[in-house]
Amino acid sequence: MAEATAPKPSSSVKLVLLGEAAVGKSSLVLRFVNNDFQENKEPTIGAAFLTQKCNLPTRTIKFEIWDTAGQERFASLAPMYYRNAQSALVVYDLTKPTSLIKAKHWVAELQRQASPGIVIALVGNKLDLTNETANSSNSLSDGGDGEAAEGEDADGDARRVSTAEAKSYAEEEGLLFFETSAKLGTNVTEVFTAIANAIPETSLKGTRGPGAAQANAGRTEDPSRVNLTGPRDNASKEGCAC
Amino acid sequence: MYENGFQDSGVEDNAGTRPATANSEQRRVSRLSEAMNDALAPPANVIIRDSAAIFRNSGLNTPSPYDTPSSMDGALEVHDQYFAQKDSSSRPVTRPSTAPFDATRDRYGFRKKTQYVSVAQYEAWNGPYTEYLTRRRKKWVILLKESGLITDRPTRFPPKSVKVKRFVRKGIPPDWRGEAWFYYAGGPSMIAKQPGVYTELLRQASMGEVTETDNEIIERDLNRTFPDNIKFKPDRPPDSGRDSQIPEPETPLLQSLRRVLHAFSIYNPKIGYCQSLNFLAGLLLLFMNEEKSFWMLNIITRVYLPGTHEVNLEGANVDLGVLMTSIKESMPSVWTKIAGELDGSTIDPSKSMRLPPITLCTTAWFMSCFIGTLPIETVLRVWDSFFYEGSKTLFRIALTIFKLGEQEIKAVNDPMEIFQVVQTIPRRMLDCNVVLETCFKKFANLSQGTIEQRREERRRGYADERARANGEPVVVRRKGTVFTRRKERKVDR
Ligand SMILES: Nc1nc2c(ncn2[C@@H]2O[C@H](COP(=O)(O)OP(=O)(O)OP(=O)(O)O)[C@@H](O)[C@H]2O)c(=O)[nH]1
Ligand SMILES: [Mg+2]
Repeated sequence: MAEATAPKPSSSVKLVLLGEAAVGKSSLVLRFVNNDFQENKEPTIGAAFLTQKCNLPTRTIKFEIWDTAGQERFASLAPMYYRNAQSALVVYDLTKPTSLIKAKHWVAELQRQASPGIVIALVGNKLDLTNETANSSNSLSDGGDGEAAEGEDADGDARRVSTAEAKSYAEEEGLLFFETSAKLGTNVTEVFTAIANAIPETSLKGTRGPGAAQANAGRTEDPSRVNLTGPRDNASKEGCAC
Repeated sequence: MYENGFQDSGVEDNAGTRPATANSEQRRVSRLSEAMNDALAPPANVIIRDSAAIFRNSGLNTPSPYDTPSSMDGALEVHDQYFAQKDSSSRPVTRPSTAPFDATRDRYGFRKKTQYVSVAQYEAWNGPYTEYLTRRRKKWVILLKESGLITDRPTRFPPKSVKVKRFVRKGIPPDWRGEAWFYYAGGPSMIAKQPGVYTELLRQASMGEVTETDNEIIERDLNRTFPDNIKFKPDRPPDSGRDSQIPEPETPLLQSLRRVLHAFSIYNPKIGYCQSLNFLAGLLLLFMNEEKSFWMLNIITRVYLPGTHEVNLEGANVDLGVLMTSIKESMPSVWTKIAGELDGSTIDPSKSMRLPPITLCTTAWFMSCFIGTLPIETVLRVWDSFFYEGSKTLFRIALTIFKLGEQEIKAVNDPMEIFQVVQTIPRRMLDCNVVLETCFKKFANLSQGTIEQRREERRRGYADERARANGEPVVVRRKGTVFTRRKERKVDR
């Protein structure tokens, strides 16, 4: 893309992806990094490391992404990833309510253990399996209450977690919130752009090393936690370079 | 060309320092089997104590074929139902899986092109390599004939010797590979001692004895196993639309995979199902039948890589620690590049149980035995030596990856870049002869004994940590005295 303009300040942001097995963590990264999708993506063993740049109007952010393995037994490795992460993407599968429960556990663990000030985005993936209009983030704002109906309804809507439920949880916890489809690409760059925008300038000073967010080891709720609550904050207009 | 280059290179046997006699080989094997708690029947020329016992007692639910008076017929019947039920009404007509496949596929049914290897690169390598395979096969035929063994679909192979080891290192003929793995890993005596166990496990699986958690992940992972192999995922018929809603039929191999993973999870309650077992079992199934694959999966996870797939993954962490120590020792300049913590500090694996973050990238190397890390032919060649020689092969190959990538690694300046570099290096290692040759030339002195000793040290380290976490007194260890060791054991219990 157009990188011809004057060099913008550039900094790197460490991001970790967490969430139950098969919710689509690797697929979201693959979409973000390669703009690609693989129908039967292999499970991640241990972790994969990827990078991708994201151009904001005033700066360039280089995401350093740890894509982790979702199976429960790999969870013990997680602290190694999130110890220094400035951001986390906690993913659930919106056709699978238990995956949201797992996501909430991850959020709680991050709030307890990770760097204070870590920017967390809650992401409900596989939006394409619902019968809502794809590619329309507006469908998120009208709540979608009552969508978590029992069983699949006649027109094949597989949604089992309503937007309203997840969103209100995200608001309570001060998380960014998106519903995405890695398959169609819906809202994927938006998530990363919103994270990039939400990282406080102060933690971007050095492109390397401990990072400002690392400075103290306090493990309490951070009052300065960014409180952006959705795709309507226009963050997505400043697209990533991908 | 290949062959000569390879033949003349000093592989372990001729490397001078460690002349491997049949005798030392035997000692190695028995040391190995001891280190493995006599877990498994090793190869033909070694005396076995009751190696099957550990399997019989393996878990609460472990069936004994002896006290279950299920008739063979009965078992088979249930087995059939199980088969049918999973299979739904539309029993697929799967096309016969006979090689050769179309030009986009390799000899095993994998797509030639990967994200890291282009078709052109593949073909450039595959031409001479195919000739190499033909030459090697002829030599194997002679070897088997000399040993008085049949060469038409052999199931028995020559006893271990320096010569056979060299042959294995140069590659087992692809169509014999499964049986040879099984034979040298001690499969035949396993199966002889556990007749009917597999069938019985399938019966239990059909009765719903696979835990819900395991079953759920297994189901999800079936379609996520080798989607690039035609025997797991056939090409879609050209007329079916992109978004065809008709679910694709399951291939017979995928159904076998389900059964092997089910049986394994019941048989090994300490492991259950662990992601990566799908790859191990899947690759085995390409080379041998279900029952043999099942036993090989047991042999890998209990004998070669003990604890690696268990719920706490301790075995995996132990081996990563051993690998780190070995790198530090053999390639200090590589070590300085990879030892960094994310915050810039460095870890000393001989003093700390903490593993550097680079191990996040290498976890899969051991858990999946390099599947998904190395190109498939290289994986198979590694497995040849792995089953013949033991887990030291995996460590030696891991070191080889760092060795072959040494220049690239040393050139890294950005400490985060190292992760991507280390991740990518092995994926391009298509030339398996170079990999294996380097391995045995450079790292033949890393013995199984050393590995077992280092594993034991790391295990004790974790035991100490656990004791400390439980508030139990831990004796400060002065390196490895018998006295402290004994105390620690006590603490551990
Ligand atoms: N329909 C649909 N399927 C998806 C989407 N994202 C991922 N999948 C599928 O879900 C499965 C799991 O995707 P992965 O990206 O491998 O999931 P993961 O979270 O990385 O899984 P682990 O590595 O096992 O933790 C694959 O078969 C994907 O093709 C999506 O947005 N829509
Ligand atoms: Mg993944």
